[in-house]
Amino acid sequence: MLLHIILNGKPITAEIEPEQTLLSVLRNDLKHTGAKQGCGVGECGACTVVLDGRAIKSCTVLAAQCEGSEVLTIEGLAKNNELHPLQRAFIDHGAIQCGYCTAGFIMTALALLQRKPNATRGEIQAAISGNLCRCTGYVQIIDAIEAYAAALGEPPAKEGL
Amino acid sequence: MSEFTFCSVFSIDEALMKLAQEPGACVVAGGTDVTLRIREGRQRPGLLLDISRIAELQGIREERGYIHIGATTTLAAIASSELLAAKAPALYEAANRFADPNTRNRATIGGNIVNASPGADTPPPLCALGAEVLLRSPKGTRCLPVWEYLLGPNRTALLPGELVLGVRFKPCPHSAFIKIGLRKAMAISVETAAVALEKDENGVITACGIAFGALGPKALRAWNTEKALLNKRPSNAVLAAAVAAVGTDIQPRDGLRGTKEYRYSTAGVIFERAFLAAYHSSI
Repeated sequence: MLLHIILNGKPITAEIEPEQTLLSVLRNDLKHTGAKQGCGVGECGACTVVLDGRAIKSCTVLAAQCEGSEVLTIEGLAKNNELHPLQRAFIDHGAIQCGYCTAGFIMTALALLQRKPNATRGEIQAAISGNLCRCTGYVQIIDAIEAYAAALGEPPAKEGL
Repeated sequence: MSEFTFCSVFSIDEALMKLAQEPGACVVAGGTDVTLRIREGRQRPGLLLDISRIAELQGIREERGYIHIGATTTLAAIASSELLAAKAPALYEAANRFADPNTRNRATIGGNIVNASPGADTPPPLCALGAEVLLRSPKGTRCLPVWEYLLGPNRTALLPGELVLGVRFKPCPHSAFIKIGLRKAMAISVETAAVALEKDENGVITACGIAFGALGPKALRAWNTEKALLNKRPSNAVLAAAVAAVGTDIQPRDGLRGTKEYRYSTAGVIFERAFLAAYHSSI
């Protein structure tokens, strides 16, 4: 069957199987390998992409259900050979080691901050709770996201309970 | 060539028609369970029927004394609903402890009750709230209490050709949910407790629903515990009797996430915590 999506701003048509996951289409058919397959069962978050403005685990989404949707992957972030400031923040804060989980974390953080630019540290921690990192620990990752949020210019909301 | 086919439907009637044509069709909403079943070879090939675009199945609304939640309402929508935070805190809390925020963006309440995992997070609060499942077939709509709709692990009273429309229940501000998981996110419950109650101006409990998750083959309504509390004004003695009754309501098993003994001894503890949170909630 044919799938039509807007991938990183560009309309794309792909021939897919009905049971294929979005991750499988992105990686195997569209050769966008930034989203990783870690566990393949929705546990690790390495496959996270932004679907119609929300971060989702693309290994547990049927591609066929994405007809007409906008999909944003890590490949869509850098512009004119310039890294996205959130990617830059990850590098600057040592938030990358092996890099396998990084795209997932960045897409989760991006969706959070698009909806809530003044997210608190606690809200950042909650948002990334389904993304696993086995190298750096999480402090640098949270620092990087927080620094990017601060650079967006909106003061963080008061930390609630 | 794939042995699966895919079809999106845009109305309940269209979905029922397709289900009548292809009795073995697999209904897909968020896909968080179905994709795993396909991956693990547990899903028989056939029609994947996408109901995520049926507008009538989406959303949370209060109408004529009931809160209605459409089957394809996401856990994220439930976890951020101010209406539910105020009027069904047990379900609101369960949604906020469900998997992680990104899974909640896809997973639906209909999927959670259709899949009927013994450790599912939404059935215990739904049972405690006295929720009913609305089921539609070409013959009409029927309502079943959630604890009757659930039959056992991955087994429900849903008949071939029938579609889950959603759930409904009466508002219950004095309700609470406690989950024990092995970590904060993506934790399949070790056990859960949900309490929903009404009390009069003297603090006497005039109605109560109590349910446990992961302590039996399905979410269990704790009838004996409820009896121990009904028409009583909570005291240490009343609460102790209720905690003792918990042991008679549950059927815990040894499992990967906890031993039978652990579950017996902690069920009373999480019940008590949920009860106190529900009883003392100031809403």
